[in-house]
Amino acid sequence: MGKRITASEKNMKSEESVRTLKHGEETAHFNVLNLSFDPWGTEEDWKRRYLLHPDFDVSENVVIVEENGEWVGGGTAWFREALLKSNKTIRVYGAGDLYVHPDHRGKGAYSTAMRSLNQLAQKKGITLGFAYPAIYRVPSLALPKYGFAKVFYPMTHVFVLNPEKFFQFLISRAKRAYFPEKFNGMLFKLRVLFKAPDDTREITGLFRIEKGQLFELNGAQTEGRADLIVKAEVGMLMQTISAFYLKKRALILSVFPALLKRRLGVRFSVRFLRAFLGL
Amino acid sequence: MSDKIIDLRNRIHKDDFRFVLTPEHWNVLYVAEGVEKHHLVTVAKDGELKGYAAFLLVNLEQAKVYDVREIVAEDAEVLSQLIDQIVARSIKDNVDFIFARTCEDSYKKVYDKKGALSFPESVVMIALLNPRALLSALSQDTDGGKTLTLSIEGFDPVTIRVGTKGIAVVTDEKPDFSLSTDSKTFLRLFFGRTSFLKEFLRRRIALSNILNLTTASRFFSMVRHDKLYIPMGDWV
Repeated sequence: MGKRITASEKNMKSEESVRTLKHGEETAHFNVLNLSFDPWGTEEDWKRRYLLHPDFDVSENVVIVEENGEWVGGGTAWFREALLKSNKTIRVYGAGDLYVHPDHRGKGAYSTAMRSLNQLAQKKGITLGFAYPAIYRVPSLALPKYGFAKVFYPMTHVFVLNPEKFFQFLISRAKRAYFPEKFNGMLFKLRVLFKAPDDTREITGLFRIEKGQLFELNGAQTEGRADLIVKAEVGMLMQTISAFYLKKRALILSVFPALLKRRLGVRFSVRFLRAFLGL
Repeated sequence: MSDKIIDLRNRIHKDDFRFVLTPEHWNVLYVAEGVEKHHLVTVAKDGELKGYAAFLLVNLEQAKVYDVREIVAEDAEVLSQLIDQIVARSIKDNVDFIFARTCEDSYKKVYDKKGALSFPESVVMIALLNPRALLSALSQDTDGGKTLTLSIEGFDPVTIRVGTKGIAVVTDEKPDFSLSTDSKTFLRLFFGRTSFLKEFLRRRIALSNILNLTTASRFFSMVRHDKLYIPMGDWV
């Protein structure tokens, strides 16, 4: 059975309540994850992450946030043991699958779920909490509010075997990222070079930003009309995007040498420059 | 096989902060047997396991992707052989691209040489929930030294004796001085991401008596865990 977390255990709004998932609600949980993440994954992924995970019980690990009895969000805690250099172990938890139902965003359900996960973990004697967000997604900015500090940046290595598919993957990820609204209505052209020992392939995409989101365009547009044209080797492009999200110093250190070595080319309109500088 | 794999991981990463890997965790998080198409490639010399890579074939945004859950290699040569095996299999499986996230910067050159694009894309974020339990797990018998009260914003103070060879959480001792900080600074010091002196000069650490600067510095060097090893398979 799911357990109810009392009002005194969290800073809840009067209409909100928090409980753990009940046995029998597994399919509903899988469905709400897919609705919220659009998509989250397959039933097999869910089974592996939830039912098959050692020492995992949905009624102990999965938190549900309700508003007036309606399921609006939640999150999950995975408990593990960690080894210290003293060879002693401590109990830790991984926070994940934090979601808010699309009809209930912006009302604080994410905060309630995150705080409830930390409280659930503390009640179970957990020492440290872990989370692994992408640097360009909102959780990496939101988690410090709940006590999470950025400690370590693992290196991602990608071997590209099919440049078109990788390009489409990058675009699908970019469509989920947030762009400042000052760029709304602007056209961007991206020319990405994939170099192989015997071949160089260029893939081009044209995009418009509307309401802080990226949309891919199919129509023929001339270079002259784009507000920003970026031409880059794919490795350089990935490093530049990462540096943009890490910090200004990292961006400057990676972009300027790349511009000088012509591994990165940028052309922009006056309109883009004014928006970029906030003029 | 999982026993040999766990032994090798524990040997290579013996000094690192890491999650305890049991055969049950291995079967679900790394090889995902019976759930998804999984692969395990190994390198052995004279019958002894020197490295392994566990990876899953997944569909990601309409692309066929190898998601490398973990690569453990005794040295760069073993890592190079493991990468060759993964790439060879990916061609057979008609894979579009291969993703691997690693905790060791020292092997970046090997990935570069093999033609990988390398960039930071994720961040490991950590929340401190119980500093007393964390420091108690590092406690050992200590003689002499000084006693400090550690106050981390949002938590009850912890009294610690800082000896010559280790620290001990104590209850009935009068502290010689107090040290205050916030949990973010404490975690960054604990995991070796910054230095005591830098944080002290930035005024993120306060001491009740500056004459105890060396004891405070020694405390952080004793609890410090420079290496953090959390492969992708443990990211749940």
